[in-house]
Amino acid sequence: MNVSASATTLNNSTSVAIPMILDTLPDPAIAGQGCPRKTRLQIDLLLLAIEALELGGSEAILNFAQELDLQGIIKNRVNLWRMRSSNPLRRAHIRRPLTILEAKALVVIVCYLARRLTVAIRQMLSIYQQLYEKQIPFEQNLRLGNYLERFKTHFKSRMNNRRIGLLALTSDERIDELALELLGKLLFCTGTAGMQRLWISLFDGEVE
Amino acid sequence: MNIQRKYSLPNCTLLLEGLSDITRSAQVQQLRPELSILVNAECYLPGCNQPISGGREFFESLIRVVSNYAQEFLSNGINLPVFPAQNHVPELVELRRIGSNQHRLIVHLERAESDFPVNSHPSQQASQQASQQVIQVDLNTVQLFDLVEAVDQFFADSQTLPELSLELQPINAQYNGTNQVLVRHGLPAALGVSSLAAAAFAVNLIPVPQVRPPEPKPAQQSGRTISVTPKATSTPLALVTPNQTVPTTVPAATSSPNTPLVNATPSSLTPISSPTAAAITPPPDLQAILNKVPEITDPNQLRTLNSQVYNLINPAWSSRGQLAENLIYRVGTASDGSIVGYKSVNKEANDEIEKTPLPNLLYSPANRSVANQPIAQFRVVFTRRGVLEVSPWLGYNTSPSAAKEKLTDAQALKDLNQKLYNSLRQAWGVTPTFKKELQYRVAVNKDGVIAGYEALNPVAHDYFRETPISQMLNSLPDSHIAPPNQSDLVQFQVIFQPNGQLEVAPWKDSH
Repeated sequence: MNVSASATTLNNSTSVAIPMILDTLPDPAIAGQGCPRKTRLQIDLLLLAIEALELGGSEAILNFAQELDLQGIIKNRVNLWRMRSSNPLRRAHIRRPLTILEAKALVVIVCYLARRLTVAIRQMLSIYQQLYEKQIPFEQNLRLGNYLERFKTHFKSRMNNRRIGLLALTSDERIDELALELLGKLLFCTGTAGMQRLWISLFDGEVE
Repeated sequence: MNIQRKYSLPNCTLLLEGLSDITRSAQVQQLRPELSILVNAECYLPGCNQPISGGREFFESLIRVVSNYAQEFLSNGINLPVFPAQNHVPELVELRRIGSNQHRLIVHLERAESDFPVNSHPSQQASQQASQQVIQVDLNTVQLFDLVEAVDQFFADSQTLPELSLELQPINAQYNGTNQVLVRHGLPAALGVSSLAAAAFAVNLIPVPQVRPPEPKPAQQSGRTISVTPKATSTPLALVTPNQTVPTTVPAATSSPNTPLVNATPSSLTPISSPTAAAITPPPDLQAILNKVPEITDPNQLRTLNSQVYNLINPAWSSRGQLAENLIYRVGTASDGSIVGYKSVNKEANDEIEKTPLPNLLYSPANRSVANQPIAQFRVVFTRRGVLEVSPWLGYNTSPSAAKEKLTDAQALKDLNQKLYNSLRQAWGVTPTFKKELQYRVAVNKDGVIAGYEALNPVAHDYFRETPISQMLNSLPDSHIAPPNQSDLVQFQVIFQPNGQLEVAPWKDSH
């Protein structure tokens, strides 16, 4: 009467040694193998913000995967693209689950990249604060303006219009707000416990 | 020995002063002695001429609130529950978001200290109340981050108050749905009366396990069918011993409602056990049963049972919001999801058992042998706030995955997908009142007839009645459900959006 699936095929990942660095992130108490929608969405958006911060960001993601010995999980460009396309907002969204292990690897990379960009992130957030207080449009500042512009371009070209419409993310102002919010989150990723904090926050409201 | 620890960031410096515990440090000569007794904590923030300082209580509140706020910031403003050291004691420190880039730190200090700098900057105010001083500092995101980082560096420092360390956990799904609970409790009285009637009706129905939704698995299907077949036999093969009889009463439960453990399982495991026998023999311990029968640990089965138990108890729990404390029970269920025993975990649970639907839901085994029937254990919590929580007692040993039925023919899958979409679309006429999307896993047979479902998020449980799935299940003649062959079922993920959109896609586990 036990009609459960056989569990023998579940852990094909165990054949590859799991990199030590991922052990610092605990497994969330969620049912199923894949990450919740929110997790997939947030990770992809944070990576998008990094790409807007740094030219050649996507190249850097793959390089870091090599450096951190994560190439067993993030194998190549196509593989990375497929993981990111699990973001439900994507134009090219594919109904492929993002495994916990893949999510961990991406989070580690987000945090390492953010750490490398700490100075830029801090400066831009300070500039944003100053411009905001003086009511000066953000485009006035070259650096901040560039970031927002690039983020908007990436976001509009890669996300599904209908789906971002549902989240009321169609106007340029809203996309700018999102970009700045992500910048703040990236700053928090740079901290001593940033990786753990980000990881845990991705499952807030999702655990059972 | 006086020790100072300093965590210095561009916009924030945390300075701790304290002593080391001589009894401990004497044993080992340490290069950097452990600060184990905190005397004073100072927090230097931009815009303040003087540090905010306080003792251990202030410092603990500061790190707790700052750490929680950082998580809140990262998870898009889901309000995290704050768990103060002692319940009902308000936090000395508060953090509030006052703008996209502005955060207000409020510190209540319990002493008259008039020498704090007053209003050097408009954003800070130090107001002098009777004996309480309130300090308010507005921080931008970078400054807030520096405060968080100082706290995290303290957490990471194992030589300073090592008993305080960073413990992060994702918050429960229930907190996402807090407002639903409020809405539910805020319903007008008129509705309350009608729901009371509905609840009374539901309670009447409970002994007959019709209210249980069918599951894709055949063994659990049986719960819905009321058949005229004779009493189940004692064959240990559960496939042919579903609870086909209609339970009449709950003899064991009523006979000893106040004992901490009520168990309806007869101790005599003979094939023909009469109700009287069950009532007379004292109910055996849940643990004792477990020693005799195997426990269900398969994560897939546990997960299905978990949602069955939830679906069984949740609609039957009528008197919500009357509890002073959370009631926690350890509940044992048979493989078909019927409750065969429970045990209160805390004292309140024992005293207030009558306020829960558990005694009524206890399955009467009078006509059924439970010999060698495996049992699953769950932790069931009736919370003060009116939320039901069900989880496997020992957790899942591995992640559950979708059962293995797969339809390989892509075209057939596509057709079935379309068929399910069409029938759901047609039947879904109600304007949605839910605010979040409802996610279900739905199993259908080759003809596109729904054979079972599972709610995937809490909202989906709550608003199930609003979905066409509920009607489509109910309108089925029993003959359709009775013989579902596992291999014939195909699973789909179905999402109902609050804006009326419907999404149907083949269920995919990670393979």
